[in-house]
Amino acid sequence: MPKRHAAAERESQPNAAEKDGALPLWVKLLVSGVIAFHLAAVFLAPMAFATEDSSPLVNRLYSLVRPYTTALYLNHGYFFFAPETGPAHLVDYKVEFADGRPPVSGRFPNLATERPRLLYHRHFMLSESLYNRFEPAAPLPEPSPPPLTATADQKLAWELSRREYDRYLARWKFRQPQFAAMRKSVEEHLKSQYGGSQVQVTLIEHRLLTPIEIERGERRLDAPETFITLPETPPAPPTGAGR
Amino acid sequence: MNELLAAITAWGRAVGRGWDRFWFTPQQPHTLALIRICGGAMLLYTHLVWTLDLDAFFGPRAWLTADAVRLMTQDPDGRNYTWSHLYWIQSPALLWLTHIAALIVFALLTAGLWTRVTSVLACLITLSYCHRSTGVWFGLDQINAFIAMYLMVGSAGGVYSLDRWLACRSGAEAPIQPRIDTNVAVRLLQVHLCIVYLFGGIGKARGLPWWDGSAMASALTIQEYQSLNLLWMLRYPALLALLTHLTVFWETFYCFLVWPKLTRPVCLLLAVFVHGGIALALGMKTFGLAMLIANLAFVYPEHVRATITWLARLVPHKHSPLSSGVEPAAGRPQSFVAAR
Repeated sequence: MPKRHAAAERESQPNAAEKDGALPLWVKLLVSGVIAFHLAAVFLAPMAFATEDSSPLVNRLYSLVRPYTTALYLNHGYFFFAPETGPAHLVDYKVEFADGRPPVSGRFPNLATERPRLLYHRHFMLSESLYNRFEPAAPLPEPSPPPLTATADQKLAWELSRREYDRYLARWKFRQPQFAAMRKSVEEHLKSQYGGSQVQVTLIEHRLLTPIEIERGERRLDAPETFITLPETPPAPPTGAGR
Repeated sequence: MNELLAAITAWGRAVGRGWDRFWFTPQQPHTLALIRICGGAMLLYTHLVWTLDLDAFFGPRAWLTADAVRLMTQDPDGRNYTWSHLYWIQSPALLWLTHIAALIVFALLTAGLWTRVTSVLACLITLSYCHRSTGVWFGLDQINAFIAMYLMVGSAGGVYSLDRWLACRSGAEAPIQPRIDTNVAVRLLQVHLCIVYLFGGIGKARGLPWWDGSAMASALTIQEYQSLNLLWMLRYPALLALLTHLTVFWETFYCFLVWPKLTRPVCLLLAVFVHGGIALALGMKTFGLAMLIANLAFVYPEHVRATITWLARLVPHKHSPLSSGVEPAAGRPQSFVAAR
């Protein structure tokens, strides 16, 4: 038999030991346990993301595997382009100089300077992260207590809004330093890149054109009026914990 | 009562046998090896692109410094389970040195040299970069990370590798063995991918645009993503709605449809269309490709082997590693590509 065919013959057949289940039962049980734990962790991470901390069961289970999923970079929601394909977010910056040079302005991401596309996408994700992690410098004021003459329903409504506010405040206290550190880091990077003394960073939303605008063809995707400067304060009252 | 107990016992045994067959049946290495080549090349490219702006992303004055990232990745209880060697590197020279070493590891993994070691190193390096790049990572990094993780579980260098080629040259050629660890690696990749798609589908099902059929139209109008102008498609809202609904249903039910042999080809073909579309139209070639590489886990090893053997026949050089399996010269070692 030619060598080639002999090799093929050998290759196509599992060796006897493996065919008969060479792994001892205790090894199979051990490996099965590891696999089950790993896949439970892989499943619980997006489950926790999807439930937005609202399910006591998922919260409890996920807290058991959180260190594992975080360390192995499995802590993702996999909500690609979901639940909505919203507008894009960019960052405008202005660098000023102590020596009187004219300020430098720019925007990222910028496809003209960030090449290849993957490098552009990194800058894009940076601007999106700044948007997603935004928290204003001061929290919203707490809700006023009801008047003494308030009805029982009004008092109950206040109680509920107060609880919601407490959740919001806890979330703000957790997230605000993170956003502040992120923003400071970006500003320091720009300062060092240009040798500037002062940097101003502004979040921009590039809104999507409506179907009617596209149908009429009167406005381009990059029309200046579609770039909106985002306010530094939250536009809506707190809606409780969420992501 | 006894009958009920017997039925439950029989069911339990059947589940046990099914689990045993699913996880512990030895598998040929061809599929995992192909994933190693494609996934390794993607890891190499992803990290090669960091090279273009290494200091700006990982240096002491990066866009997001190590201190900022450490704060951003902290849990509400103050603990931080992320880790990265890049948290500790402040010297630009050391940063470049370790980065070049990382690129060499990815190149070796792709080529399949010292695969058992390089696959472990590649996984550690990938995770390390992913943790440090918090704030700038996206779906590509998530897929890269779990591909790298499962490559180190199985025999990713069992075939189509320099390891195999060197073994052949030295005369220590061993038959290509089906292995349990290879099967476990491929199975983990398959199940993980199913979970990714399931939650991708669930996430989309929560958004109105994925129900009213406008999501695809919206995606085409996001200028920052756009790499191909497909605005003409907006004239066909029914077609875009069809693509929108198809995406949601395909993602949600991928975890069921990909297993039967009857529906698997359709499921994988849709993956090519969806991810190919993302790659071409939404400017994310790397992400689209990474998802397709992960989908290779559902291609049978014998199909991979047949395809690569066919491709190897197209290579004109008689003694090249790719063609040597087709017409082996007398006294020459067997192909490291395919044994038949």
